[in-house]
Amino acid sequence: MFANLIAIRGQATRSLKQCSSMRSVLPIPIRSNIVNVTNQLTCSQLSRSFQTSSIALHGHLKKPVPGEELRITFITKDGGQKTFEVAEGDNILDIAQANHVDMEGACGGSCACSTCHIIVDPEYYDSIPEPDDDENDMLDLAFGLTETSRLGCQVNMTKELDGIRVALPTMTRNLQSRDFNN
Amino acid sequence: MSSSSPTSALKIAVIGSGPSAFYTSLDLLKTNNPQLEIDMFERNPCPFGLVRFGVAPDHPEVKTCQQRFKDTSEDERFKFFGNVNIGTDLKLQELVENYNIVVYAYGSGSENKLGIPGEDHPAVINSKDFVGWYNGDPAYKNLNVPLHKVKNVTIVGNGNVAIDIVRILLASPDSHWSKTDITSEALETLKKSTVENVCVSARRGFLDSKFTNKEFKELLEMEKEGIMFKGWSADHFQTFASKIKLGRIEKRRLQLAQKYSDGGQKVSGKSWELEYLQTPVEFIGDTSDPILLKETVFQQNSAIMNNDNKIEIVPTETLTCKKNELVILSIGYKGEPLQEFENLGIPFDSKRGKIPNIDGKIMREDGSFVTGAYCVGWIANGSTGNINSSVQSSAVVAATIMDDVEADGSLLDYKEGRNKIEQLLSERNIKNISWDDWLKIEQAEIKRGEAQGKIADKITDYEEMLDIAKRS
Repeated sequence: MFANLIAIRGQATRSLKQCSSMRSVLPIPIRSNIVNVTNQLTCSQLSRSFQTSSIALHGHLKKPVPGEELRITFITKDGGQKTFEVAEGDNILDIAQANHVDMEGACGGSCACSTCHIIVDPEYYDSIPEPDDDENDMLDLAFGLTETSRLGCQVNMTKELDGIRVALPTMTRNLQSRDFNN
Repeated sequence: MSSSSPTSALKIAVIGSGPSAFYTSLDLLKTNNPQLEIDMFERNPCPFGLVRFGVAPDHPEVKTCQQRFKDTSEDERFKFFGNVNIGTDLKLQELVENYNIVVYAYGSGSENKLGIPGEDHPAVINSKDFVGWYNGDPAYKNLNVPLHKVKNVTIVGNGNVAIDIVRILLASPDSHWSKTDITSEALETLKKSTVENVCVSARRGFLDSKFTNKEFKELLEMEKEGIMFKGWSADHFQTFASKIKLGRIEKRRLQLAQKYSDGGQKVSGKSWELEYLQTPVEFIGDTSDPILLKETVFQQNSAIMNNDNKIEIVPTETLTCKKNELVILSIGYKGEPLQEFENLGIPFDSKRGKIPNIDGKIMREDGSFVTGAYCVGWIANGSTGNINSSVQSSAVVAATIMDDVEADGSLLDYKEGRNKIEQLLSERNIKNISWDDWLKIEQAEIKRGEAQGKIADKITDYEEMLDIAKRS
């Protein structure tokens, strides 16, 4: 086991060097594309016109009680916005899928994958109950993790979350960052 | 990606039907281009690749994505061609000629080797074969694993496949496995199993473990079912825990190991252990029973920091012996090129066992791209990653394809596509399996399963599948 310790020590040094990729030590998102999304969330939001659709009633969604509708806005991968009126208790994955927002839920919402990864507007992040160990273990495997990342299937709408904005992580591509004209 | 719709048809052939093949197809179908035609070619009668033949039977939630894959069958632009082998039933050249784009998504077909004495012993089994066996891959249905004679198993490699295999070997066949879609043959073998201890061994240290915390935790929690983690004594962790700052993933892994370590006490009953910093150098057979091993010889490694502040694993002169009657190698898979690659000028990186590419776009050694040729999944990225990475890389490849189509008009030149291919299959008398045929096979599996109280009872014979498909 002493040998193991050496390995752990050495590895830890590496971890420290790489800590910029660790959620736990990062106050802000790292990837430039994520930063853009977050900027959109907090700044350019108002310059866009809202389109509110009433919810398509299928999937597991409940019909919102009139007067008690909660609003949620998705910032899609191409930067567009979609706002829906939903009922208390619905989870964000179900809301997205029922409304044809482009979000995978490969495991069907059982917290066994991280394909419903969302980036929550920091203003609302603390109003969501903290992620449990299972969700954190899955988030660790998500692409483009940020300080306010959650899994859509684990976040249920509450009155506190009325008006919440969540962004879908964008893709990271290599080709676009290379110059092929030369 | 959805901004402009091409004026002429875009015909795409996808080789393979695993998660990456399906997610790429689904992403392409999202473009709403009515002139899109996607044909998926699978050499087996059944689709889904490693979702069917790789994912552990006790992880049905991971297989939920199969429901999503069924969405493709509701789209007329998509067609599934099962039981069609590219290279024999259809030439790859015929796909290249008749489609605008070919997407290679056929996975990693062979396994990595250690290249050490004793590796060809019958009691040294590759994880690919073993996993294929319990998951009903017909290629491995006759794998005779002598579990009724084995007490100690060593698994070389510590990814999630190794963790799956520990559960297979130690969890109760009756209470844990009997209701899953594990094959009946495997279930019977497990009922006769005498395996008591499984050792998962890795070349590097604990923090370099390949398994994910979710799978680690799941296995540790099987303590409730009487499957004990041998662990290490608590003081092993004390020394560095206060001194070293770990990332969240490492911290969590360590916490889990600490929580479930029994302090090095003797464990009774079934148990498993994790060993690190050792490389197998020889497998030694049991002279009294030719189907069993006696032991594995390991060379102990040491982790040192090199000049670039990187950890290097270096062998020491210390050799140790581990008593085991069976070894399962779980050291990763390797892709192979298709036969016609060389003739068609499609590059292949034999060393890494994958097709060289950027964002799925197949790239020659000189940095130029092969027009209309893309790859995705394990054949593109090597044998790592799960559904998350499939979803991610498929989205990238689909977006790259659509961008290229927009930028290069020649990718929309007229191609005969599906009509021509169906004509060729019919001329050659190849009975391809359609999506409806597959649904019949799937229904038969579910029905057979119902009779035994299982989710499904997989058919492990392709002829039988073809027979079921023929029935009206």
